[in-house]
Amino acid sequence: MALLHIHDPAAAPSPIGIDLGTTHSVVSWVPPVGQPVAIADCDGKTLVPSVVHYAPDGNVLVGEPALLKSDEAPQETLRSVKRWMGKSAAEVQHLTGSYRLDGTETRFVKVVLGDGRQITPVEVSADILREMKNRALDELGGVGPAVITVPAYFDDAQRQATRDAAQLAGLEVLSLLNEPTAAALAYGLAEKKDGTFLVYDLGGGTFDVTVLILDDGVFQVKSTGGDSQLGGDDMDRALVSMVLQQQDTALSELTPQEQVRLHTQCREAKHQLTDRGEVTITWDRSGAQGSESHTTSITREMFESTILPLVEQTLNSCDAALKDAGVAAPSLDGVILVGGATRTPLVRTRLEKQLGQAPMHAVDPDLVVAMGAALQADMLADRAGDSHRASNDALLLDVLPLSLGIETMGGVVENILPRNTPIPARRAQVFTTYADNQTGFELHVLQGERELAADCRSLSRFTLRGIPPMPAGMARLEVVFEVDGSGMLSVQASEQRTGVSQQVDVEPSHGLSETDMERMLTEAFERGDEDVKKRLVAQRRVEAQRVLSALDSALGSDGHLLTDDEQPAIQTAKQALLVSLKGQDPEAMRQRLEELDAVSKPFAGRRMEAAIAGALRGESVGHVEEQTADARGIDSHLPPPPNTNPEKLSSKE
Amino acid sequence: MNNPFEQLGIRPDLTIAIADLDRAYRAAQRSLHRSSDTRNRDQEQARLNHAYRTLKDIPARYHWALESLLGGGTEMETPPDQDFLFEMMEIKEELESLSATEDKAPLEQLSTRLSGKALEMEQQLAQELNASLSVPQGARESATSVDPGLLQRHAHWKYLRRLAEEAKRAMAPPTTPSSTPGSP
Repeated sequence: MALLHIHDPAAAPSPIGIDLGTTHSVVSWVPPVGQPVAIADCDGKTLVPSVVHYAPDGNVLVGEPALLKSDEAPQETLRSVKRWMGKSAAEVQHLTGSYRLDGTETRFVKVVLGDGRQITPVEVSADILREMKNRALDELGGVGPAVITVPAYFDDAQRQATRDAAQLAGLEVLSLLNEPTAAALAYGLAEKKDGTFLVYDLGGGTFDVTVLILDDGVFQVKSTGGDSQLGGDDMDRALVSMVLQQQDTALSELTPQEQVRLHTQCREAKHQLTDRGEVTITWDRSGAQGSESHTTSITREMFESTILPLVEQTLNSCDAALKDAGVAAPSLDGVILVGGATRTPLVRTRLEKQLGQAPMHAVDPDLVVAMGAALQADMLADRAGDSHRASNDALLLDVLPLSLGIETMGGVVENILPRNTPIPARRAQVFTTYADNQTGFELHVLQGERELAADCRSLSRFTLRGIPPMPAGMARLEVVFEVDGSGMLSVQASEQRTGVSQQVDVEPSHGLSETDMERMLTEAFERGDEDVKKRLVAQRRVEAQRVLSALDSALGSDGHLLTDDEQPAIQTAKQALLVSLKGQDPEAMRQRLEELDAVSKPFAGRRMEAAIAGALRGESVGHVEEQTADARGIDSHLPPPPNTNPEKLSSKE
Repeated sequence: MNNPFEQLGIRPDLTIAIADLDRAYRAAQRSLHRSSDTRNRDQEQARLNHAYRTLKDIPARYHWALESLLGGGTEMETPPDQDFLFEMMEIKEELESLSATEDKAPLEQLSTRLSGKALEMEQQLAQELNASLSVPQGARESATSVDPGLLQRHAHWKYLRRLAEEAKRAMAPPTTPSSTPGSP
C-alpha cells in the first residue's frame, strides 16, 4: 500500500495545524502537492480574531462577528484569554481589564459574564478551536488530527489547559509544538538549509526569542528567553496612554465601551502607521455635559518614540539569549520574524541594526506558525501510517526555561539543573547535615534565577525523616532531580548510609505566573552581582557557624585529644573568625575560616576517627530499621528539628 | 565511570570546540532518535544530555578528566602553592583598584593578560590530560603514579580562570547598556 499516496479526504481526513494565538488564530494544512496553506473564510481572511462573544440567548460568536459585539457588550466578549490559560484568579487579576473574575475557590480562573454565567479560559479556547476546526471542515470536507502550537514559555498547567481545550472542541491532538520551532519548520530550514537561527516572535501578548541550530533534521534549541507579558497589545496600550496623556485624561474616566473604542482606534492607527506617516483618530469621553468628542493626530515619530522602550526590551532579551547560546550576532545564518507585531517598521529597523542583518520575511509572520504546525501534523500523521517515514521526522532538542534547585542553609539556593539545560535531564547532588544528631532534612524545591530562596518561586517542600543521629557532616543525603521531555520534574531524596528515601512529583511551573517568570529573570540579570555577594556572605556565615559549633562541641567532649600547642592556636583563629563575621566581607571570612580550619584539622581528624568507631559500635542494624519504619509512618509525631536544611556536599550524575 | 566523549561517539580531546561538541551531540541524539529501539529513550536522552553538559562546561570537562584518571574517591581539592596564592592576591588587588578607576584601558590590558595566561595553562593541562586519556583504561598505570603536580596545576588554573572571569565582568557591568540615543 505504500505505493499509493493519493489524497482522498473520505478515506483519511487531512491533518491540520492550528496556531492558537493571543489575538489571532490560524488553521493550516498541507495539500498533497505543494507548500502548507492557511485556510481562509469566504471573504478570503485567514486570521480569526481570538475573540468570543457569549450572547444572553446562549449563542456563541467567534472571530470577526464577536469583535463587532465588543463595543456594545464588552463584558460578554472575551479576548486575549490565552493569557489566562492554566492560571489562578490571583495570577491574572491585573490582566483582565474590565472583566469580572471568579476562582477564589478553584485552582483555575473563571470569568463572570454580565448575566452571571461563568466560563473558563479552557472553554473559551475550545470555542475558538471549534471554529478553526469548522473552517477546515468546510474547506477540506474532513478533519484529521491536529498539531496545536504553544509559546515556548508555556508551563505544564498551560500546556495541559490547551490540550483540554482541544479535547472539548473534539479535536484529536497529535502533539503540541513550540511556536518558534513551528516557525523554523515553516521556513523549511530543516530540509533546505542548516545553520544557526534566531526566531524573534512578537505576538499579541507574548514575546519569545529562541536561538536554535538546525543540523540534518535536528533542531537544537541553544537558548530561549523573552518577555512573556510583552506584545503588540502593549504597543496599543502604550498608544492609548499617550493619547490620553495628551488630553490630560485618565483611562478610568472613560466608560468600558469608550475604553474599548479608543483601544480599537489605537490598534488600527498602529496598523496604518506601518505604511503611513500620520493618522488621525476620533474618540469619545462622556462627562457631566454628555459625551464629548476628541480628535488626536498621531505621527509615525510619536508612535515610534512611544513604543521604543518596548522594542528595546525585546532587543535586550535577544542579546541575553545570544549570550546564553554562546552565539555572536554576526554568526547568525538568519533571523526569522513571527507575529503580526513584527510588521512594525521600527521593530525591523532596530532588529536589523542590532543583529547586523535584515530579518527574513518570505513567509507571512502571521501565518508562519500555523504553517509549521501543519507541516509537523503532516509528518506525524504520516509517521503513524507509514513507518518508513519515521526517520525523516524532525527531532527537537529543547531546554529548561528556568533553573531548578533546592534551598540550603542560610536561605541560599543551590541550583541543581540550571536554566537552558537540555531536557530530559537527570542530576543528583549530595548534601549533608548541618547540626549534630540531626534526624531530618527539610527539602525546599525552588525555581528561578536568584541566589536567595526568598526571591525564587517555591515549587514544593517535603521532609525526609528517620535519619539516625550522627555528627554533623556525616550523613549523605542524595537529592535527584529528574525532568522528562515535556518538562515535568520529579525529585527523589535518600540518605545513603541508611537507605531512608522519599519521592515527590513536582510540576515545575505550577502556579508560576508568566509575570513572575519574567520578573524573576529580569531581576536575576539586573541584580546578579549584588546577589552573588549576599549569597557569599550568607554562605560564609553558615559555614562559619557550623565550624564554630562543631568545634565547640568537639572541644567540650574530646578536649583530651588536643595537643598542648593546638589549644591557644585554635582560640586565636576562632576569635579572628568571629571578628570577620561581624563585617560584610566574604573574602575575609573565607580566609579566617581557612586559617581556623588549618589549625584545627589534625584535631578534627582524630575526633572523626573516634566518632566513626563509636557510631559503628553503638548502632545495631535492627535499631536503624525500626527508626526508619517509624519515620515513614503517616502519623509521625517527630517535630521537625531545627536547622534542617541540608548543606551541599558534592554533586554527581 | 561513564566517559562522556565515548557516549557522544568522539575521541577524548579536552580542547574540543563547542561547535564540534554540538555537532557530535546532535549526531548522537539523531541516531538515538532514529534507532528502532524505543525502550528507555527518555533515560538514554537524559544520559546524552548529561554527557553533553559535562563537556560543554569547561571546568566540569577538566574535573571529569582528572577524576577519571585518578579514580573516584580521590580528594580533588588541593591547596594552591603559597607563591602562586601570593601572586594571585596581588593581581586581585590590582583588579580591584583598576575597577574603581574611570579609564578602562589598563583594566582591559589586565583582563587580556589574565585570559591569555588562563588559556595557556588550560592548553598545557589539556596536553597532559589528553596524553593520559588516550591510553585505554585497562592499560593505565595505577592512579598513584599520576604526576602529583597535576592536581595543583589544575587548582591553579581554576583559580586563574575565575580571576580572568572576574576581570571580564568588571569590564562589562551586567546592566545591558542600551545602544539607543535615549527615549524622549
